[in-house]
Amino acid sequence: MKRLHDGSLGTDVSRFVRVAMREVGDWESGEVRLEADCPADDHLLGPGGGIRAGALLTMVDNVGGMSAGLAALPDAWVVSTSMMLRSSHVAAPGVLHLSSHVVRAGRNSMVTDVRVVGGDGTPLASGVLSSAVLTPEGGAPEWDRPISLRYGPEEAEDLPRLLDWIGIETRRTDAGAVATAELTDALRNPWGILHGGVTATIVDAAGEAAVRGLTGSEAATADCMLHYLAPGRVGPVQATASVLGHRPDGHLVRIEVHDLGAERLFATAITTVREVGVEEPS
Amino acid sequence: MAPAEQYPPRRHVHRDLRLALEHAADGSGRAWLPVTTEVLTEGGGVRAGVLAVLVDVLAAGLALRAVSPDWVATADLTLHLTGAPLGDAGGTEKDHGEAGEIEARARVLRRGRTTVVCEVEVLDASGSPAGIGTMTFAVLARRDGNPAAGTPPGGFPRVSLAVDGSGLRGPVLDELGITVTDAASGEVRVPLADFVRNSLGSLQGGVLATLACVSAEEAIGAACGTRVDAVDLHVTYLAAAREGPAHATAEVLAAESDWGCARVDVLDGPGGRLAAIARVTAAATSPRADPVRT
Repeated sequence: MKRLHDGSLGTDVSRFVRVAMREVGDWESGEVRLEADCPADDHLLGPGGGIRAGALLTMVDNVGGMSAGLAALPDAWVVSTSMMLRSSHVAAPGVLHLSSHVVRAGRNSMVTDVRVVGGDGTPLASGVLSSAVLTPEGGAPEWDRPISLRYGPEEAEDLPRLLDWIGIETRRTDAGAVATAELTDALRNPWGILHGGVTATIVDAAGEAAVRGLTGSEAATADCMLHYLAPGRVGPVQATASVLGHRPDGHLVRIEVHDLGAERLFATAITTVREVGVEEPS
Repeated sequence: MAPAEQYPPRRHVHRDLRLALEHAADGSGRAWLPVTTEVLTEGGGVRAGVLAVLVDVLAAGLALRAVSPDWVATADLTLHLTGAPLGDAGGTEKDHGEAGEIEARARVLRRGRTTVVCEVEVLDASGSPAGIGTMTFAVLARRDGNPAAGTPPGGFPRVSLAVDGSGLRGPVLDELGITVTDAASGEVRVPLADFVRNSLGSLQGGVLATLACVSAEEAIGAACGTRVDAVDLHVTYLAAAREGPAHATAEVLAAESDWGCARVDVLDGPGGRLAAIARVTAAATSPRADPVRT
């Protein structure tokens, strides 16, 4: 596991979403609270012009995961086991502010509450990240507390769109849609497994493609409940989406994510996907 | 509080909902809930909170079987309803698999060292898919006082949790003791009685989920200006609610004309210890034009 003494490294994924986070809680008494700013620029936009759900989920995973990890110190660190996000308003481009705090610090698990607010103070999303406490080989990472980290370049110019950067390809199927991506080193977290935010983005893409295929309209993921059942290690990764029904708040979609190289199911998700406009003819 | 070996007591929500359970040899299971007027909303659908009780009972049983002789505690519960109607009242528990019963089907997705994850499908009274849920359980070392789970290795055929005299005597929220003290803030409470305790003496997870649903429905309904019923919930259980009463408040995150979303905090006792946090989406429903007769 990488030792992030000076905070200038981070994963390629956290550098891509350009998270800047700082610790604001009374860490010496055990309270773990973080605040983060994420400039949500064009490369993170999705259908309808709002911030892509996969990008939001990646931010939540980064900030919430860091909170949980700090709460597990000094002897352990964490890996995400489930993530839930409910969007209340479309996150328009601009700077997003995240606040997270650990609401339960157990011996084997952590629960982190995360809120996302727009630059004008509008609540945009609310989420919960659950993490398992593990002891890494070589020991837990060491941090200078209170932490203050900035990942990624100062400017987002010339960054490819998130789905393109990950290399996600989608196609319709009789049952819905599939989204596929190779598991490259750039997409791994410090544990060497597929980054949780990347899994979430593949889920996001698959759900949108399923609803787009069903309705003929552009569609954007609004809510997501994602369970990480096992590490994604080999790849390629494939998310298979099927639409379960329609409600006033959107279409309900079920997604299974398989590590094709390891021949196993490693994540499941339920998303709510909303229509955001008419699909442009290709 | 009823002794562990007598759980659940004769009068208990699991018995009075007349739930039935079945475990298969492969570790999967099914459960049934008779649809009566007492479990319906004004819109005619089965309350999401009641479905949460059904899902919780079924999945917890499978998780216990997977970790036996150890025990489990519910870490989180999610339930996502498709929005389709969930059946008419009027069926009886004799109508196995026929109209009048909700069926839940569950399997263990992952049995890890410290957690178990189960997935549950919910079918409406006609057998059509009506929802899906997942539950995560923390694995706990067995302690003295835990009831004997005692599931035969090969499972067991359908068995009813009802005993003579079981059955709801009024609307389920009244039977649970849930009261609304302030609709706009979603302030609701439930006393901690034997009727709603789990085998460890704290508030049963499905009942806590019901409390969260009601809290959100009240607050979202007030914000939207129309009746709404929970269609999607995610509950994270942080601490056992052992003291009582449990009380909940809601913060409305979104309020559209026909749906909304709220964050709900569930607190335990006068001290207000945070027992659970929930996110609930609720959508507008119309009252039934033809009242259901049982």
